[in-house]
Amino acid sequence: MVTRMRQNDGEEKPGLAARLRREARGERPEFSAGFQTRLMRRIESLPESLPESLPRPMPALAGSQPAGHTGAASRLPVAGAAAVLLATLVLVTLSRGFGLQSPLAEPAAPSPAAVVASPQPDQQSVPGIESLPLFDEIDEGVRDGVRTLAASLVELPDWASLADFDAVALLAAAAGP
Amino acid sequence: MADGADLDDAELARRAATGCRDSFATLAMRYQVRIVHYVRQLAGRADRGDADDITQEAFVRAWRAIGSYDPRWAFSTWLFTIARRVCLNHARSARRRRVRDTAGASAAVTVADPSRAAVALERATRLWDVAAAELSEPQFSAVWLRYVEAKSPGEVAVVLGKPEATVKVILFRARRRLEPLVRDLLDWE
Repeated sequence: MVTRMRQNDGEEKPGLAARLRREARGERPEFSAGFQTRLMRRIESLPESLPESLPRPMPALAGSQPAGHTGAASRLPVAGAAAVLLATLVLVTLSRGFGLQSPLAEPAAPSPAAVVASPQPDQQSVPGIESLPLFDEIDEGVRDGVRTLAASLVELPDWASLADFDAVALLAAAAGP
Repeated sequence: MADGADLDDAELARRAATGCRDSFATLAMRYQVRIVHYVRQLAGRADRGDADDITQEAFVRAWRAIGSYDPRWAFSTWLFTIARRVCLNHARSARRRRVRDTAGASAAVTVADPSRAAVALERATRLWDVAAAELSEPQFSAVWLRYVEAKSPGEVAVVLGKPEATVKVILFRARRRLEPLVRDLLDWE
């Protein structure tokens, strides 16, 4: 009803509401194509073109690559898992001793692991390494690298050598091309 | 530019949320005039360019937040909510600028000046000029949304962010305030 409005959603009251509406409609601005064009240009120039609430693709995931693409990004999860494994390994190795001695610690007897470790790098075995987190997730080539690394850690002469230890380079070398 | 003119707002909003700019362009075209009209009235003291900029900003924010639109409410209600907030933020910024510019000259600039309102009222020749001069912002917005946009008190409550009962009181007081003024100034029957 144009000429009558309910007052407080109850009693009908003519006049003011209808007049307000009529006057507003009489002054209604026209559609502006310029406004629309400017708005859409602005939206297109936004740095992030998708609306905010959309989940954004993870740039490093293999799924974000075009089909058939197997570039460096697809190897990142493996390298990440290997890095986590390496860090865990170093911590476990150090916490168990493995023949290493802290400069602040008293000399200790050789650990069983040091005894088990083979002198030949290719056949070295460090107890417990197979049960480390993520070990099963990684490539066989990387596993070999980790085994070699663990064995070399066992043979490290002291804590000072750890400071010069380039774990990333060694891991990359072990993973191969 | 815009497709989907036959689709309803909720469907266009859903498509826009997946990144479809054409759907959003259709929504913008559908509501542009109504939002511009409201903002021009609400920001009536500012010039027209300001009002158009505010409206642009409101639509840009709507695009950015389109994924959070709840289709239980009319799209226009959501859009008016955004437009009102942008408009109020703009007014606050402008007021702060004015206060900075006149720092030391007058501490009363941020307070409503009755004499200024009286002058504005005296010059008013339109009903909405009277409303803009006499009503508080929530009263003005409530009256506009209720009588020009034909929103229900519940929808007005969403836009104002107040309970529906409060909106009914706001509308009642706004009408009570306007009626005698309109009668005097516009030869009210």
